[in-house]
Amino acid sequence: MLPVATREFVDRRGWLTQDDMLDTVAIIQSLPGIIAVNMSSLIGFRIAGIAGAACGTLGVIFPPFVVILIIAYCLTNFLDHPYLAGVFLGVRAGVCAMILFAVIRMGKQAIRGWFEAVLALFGFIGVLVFDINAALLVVIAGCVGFCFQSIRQRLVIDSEGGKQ
Amino acid sequence: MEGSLWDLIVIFFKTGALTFGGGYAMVPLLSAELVPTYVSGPEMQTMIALAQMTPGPVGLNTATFVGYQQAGFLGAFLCTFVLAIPGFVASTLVSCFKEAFQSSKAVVWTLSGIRPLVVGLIAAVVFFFADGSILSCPIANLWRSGGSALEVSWRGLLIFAVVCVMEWKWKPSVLVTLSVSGILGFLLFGFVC
Repeated sequence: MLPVATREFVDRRGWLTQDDMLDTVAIIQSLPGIIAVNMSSLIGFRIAGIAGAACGTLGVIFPPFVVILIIAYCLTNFLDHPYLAGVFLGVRAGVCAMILFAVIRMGKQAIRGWFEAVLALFGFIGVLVFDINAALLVVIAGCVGFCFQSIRQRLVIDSEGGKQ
Repeated sequence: MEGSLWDLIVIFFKTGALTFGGGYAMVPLLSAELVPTYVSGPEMQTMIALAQMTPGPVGLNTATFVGYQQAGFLGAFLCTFVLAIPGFVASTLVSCFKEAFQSSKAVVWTLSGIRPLVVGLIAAVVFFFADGSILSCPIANLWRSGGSALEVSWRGLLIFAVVCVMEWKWKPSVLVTLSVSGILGFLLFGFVC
């Protein structure tokens, strides 16, 4: 999605600079929600304020909404057909492998030390073995991250103060 | 299949507000809330697979799909809308107070906990997708049954292996990967069940 947006807003229309785009991408990493929605809200806001953000959001939601409505309307009766059941069993096995590779890519970026590794393991086991609600885990991990980093920050400041 | 449209709206709003990282990051949250009250496990997986084959973000597609199945057009509209709202509000707020947000340590610290957790959550999704297609029972039941109920389907495993090799060697587009696994599924499973 990023290359398409860059071509349209930076190269063709000149509404944003390349730096604006990079800035936007950096912010998206730390916002909740759907990436496409956040990106179009941020770009829309830069160009035309809140109205721009609203238009961007509606614009990005609308096309897939219509496509899925049509599919949902047509396909609901088909899904149980034996031939299609085979196709979807295959697709699900394939999706397994795709997600596995996505996890490996994400893990390489996000896990840099024991702290991150423990949290990742916590999420994995929490959902799979203990059946803990995933939303609850996200909230807990946010609190843990905040406390851990603020304590670490304090320790660093203390030890630097001690040396002086 | 119990549950009201209002509950569904709350679920999608919560998911929209707590998903960091987009794409697959939404799957563990959604399946935790929707399965088995609104959709069965296999149905959920089919829906996510469909959502990937169609243009548009996976989360939005799933919301439209589930909303439509539960409550028709109105359900589809409301579920899609509330899923997008938290991101829209957050983006707009951040645009208004950009300096404060970008220099905030609290944001960085909080995310330093959430990002690695999400990797673990998504890793668990691999097993969620494996039950029914590769494994004979949901992985969560394993501990309760003592491992005796587990059977591995060689057909599913074969497709899994083929896609692994494809991803590893060529990094094909989603459409290619899913077409290949769909065709293999038709050939291997289609005539069996």
